[in-house]
Amino acid sequence: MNSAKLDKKVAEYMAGDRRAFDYIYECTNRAVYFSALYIVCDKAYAEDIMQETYMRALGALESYSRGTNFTAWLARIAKNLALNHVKKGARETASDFTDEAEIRRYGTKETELPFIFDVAAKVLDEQQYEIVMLCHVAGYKRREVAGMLSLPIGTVTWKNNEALKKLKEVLKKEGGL
Amino acid sequence: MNIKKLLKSGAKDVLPDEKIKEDIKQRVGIEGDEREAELGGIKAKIKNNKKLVAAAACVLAAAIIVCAFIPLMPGGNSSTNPNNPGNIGFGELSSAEEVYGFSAATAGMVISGMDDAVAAAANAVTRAKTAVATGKSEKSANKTDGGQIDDEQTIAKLNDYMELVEGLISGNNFTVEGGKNPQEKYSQYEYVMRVSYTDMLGQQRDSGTIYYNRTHESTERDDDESETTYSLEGVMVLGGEEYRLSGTHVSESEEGDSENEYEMFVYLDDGYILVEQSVESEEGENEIEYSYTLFSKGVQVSRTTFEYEQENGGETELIMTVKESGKQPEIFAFENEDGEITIHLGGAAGDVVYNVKIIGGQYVYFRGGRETGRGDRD
Repeated sequence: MNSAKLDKKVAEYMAGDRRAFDYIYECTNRAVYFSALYIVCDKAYAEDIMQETYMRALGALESYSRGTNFTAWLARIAKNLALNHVKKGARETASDFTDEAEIRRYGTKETELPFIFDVAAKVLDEQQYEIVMLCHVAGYKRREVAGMLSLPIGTVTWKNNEALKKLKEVLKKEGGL
Repeated sequence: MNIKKLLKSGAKDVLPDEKIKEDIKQRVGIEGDEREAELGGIKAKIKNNKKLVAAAACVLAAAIIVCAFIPLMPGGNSSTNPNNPGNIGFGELSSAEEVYGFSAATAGMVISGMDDAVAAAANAVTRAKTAVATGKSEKSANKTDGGQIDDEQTIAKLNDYMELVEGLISGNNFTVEGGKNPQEKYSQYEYVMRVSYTDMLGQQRDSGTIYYNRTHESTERDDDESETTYSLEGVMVLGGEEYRLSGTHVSESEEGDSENEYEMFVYLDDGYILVEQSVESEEGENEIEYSYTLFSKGVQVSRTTFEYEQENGGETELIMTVKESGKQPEIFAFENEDGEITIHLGGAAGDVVYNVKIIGGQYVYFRGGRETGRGDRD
């Protein structure tokens, strides 16, 4: 993914060329989705939040500063929406969570994910989770993930390896292997 | 246990639904003025673009020949060797330029035109009809047990699968010649490559001439890890027309493991063809994935992916996935054991299984030990 090209497409969209949306979506949807999924741990909710993210972002593109990583900007919107969603769900179940980790742990779910994804959301930090999901579930190359997350490739590689090791250890311990 | 494989296998349950994109477009009022056309079993959403219609129609036909790219080197070492002409078959490909040549050839075949695809489809149906007639008489002669499939469409499809697998096994479908560009035309490009191939009907086809420059972009090192990036930029001349192309090659190595990834864009009037290939070697296992995707006005029309796995020189398996826009993907798994080929529809665990043998110069299909039909072998 070319972040300069992505910025160019954003500018084209803002100028009225709606065809640019395809490129924008294809380049960013996975990162946005996993940002939400990490928090809500539910596919259906994450999809709703992703949709809402794009609706809000497309209506507020003038607030994006060109050259500052559009994918990260979208992912932040998704994260905030996801946190709000879980807080709302927590309020509706008469609970009072203020800590983000608690919000994630006790949010309600509508659909069950395969076991390893639940484990990943619990034991990995946000960045490790994003990297693992983008590399091994969405199938991006490490240099693409580095571009999306504004990280050096070496950092992506190192965090990816650390995350996989962590997952392996936890799964071994829990008898999942 | 391979954590990466666990994650990858769960992808289908985790990744977001593709309709979300369309929902968003609908909500923000992005509309496409599209129409659908069905050609050779491939649906293409296009807008008055005959070339793209032809390209979409050729996708499946070209897929059969693309499979010859699949057995690209485990280990994926790239070497800059443009002056390496010769026939390319199973396990012989070794240079990045040859990969690019095949990528461009793939796109060239897709571009080559609807007439070829229609002819191929017509021939496939003809072979199927012949197969049915032959099979019926054979059945009475050989007293085969089980039912014979007399469905022309199924036999035609099985013949297409067999063309694909036969290309993998026999290889030598392509010829690549390349070197320094001696011509005054396209003199801005340093290298030239000419690719030809043998199609499903056994005819030699020119797949275009590619003029290109290849640039070493960067090499990054971090302890025992390294990553090198090359770019390719040029033009493909096919049928008197020029198609701009660009590509990248990234080579990564880490603790004895390696991964090479190639991508090439061939630009059409209203879209482009993206050809991708990756070769990953890890702990004695080699995985090769090859795909090409057809885009029209930024929308993906179809994607065909080939994955080839080989474990420690043991069993081999080829998975082909065909995904057309708006439809569920179709997955086919091919196994080759001692010359006997098995096709699983729905992937390696698919319920529908065909065993294929070549008897008397013909394909003979078995399902559950029963003869199901015959097909002419080209």
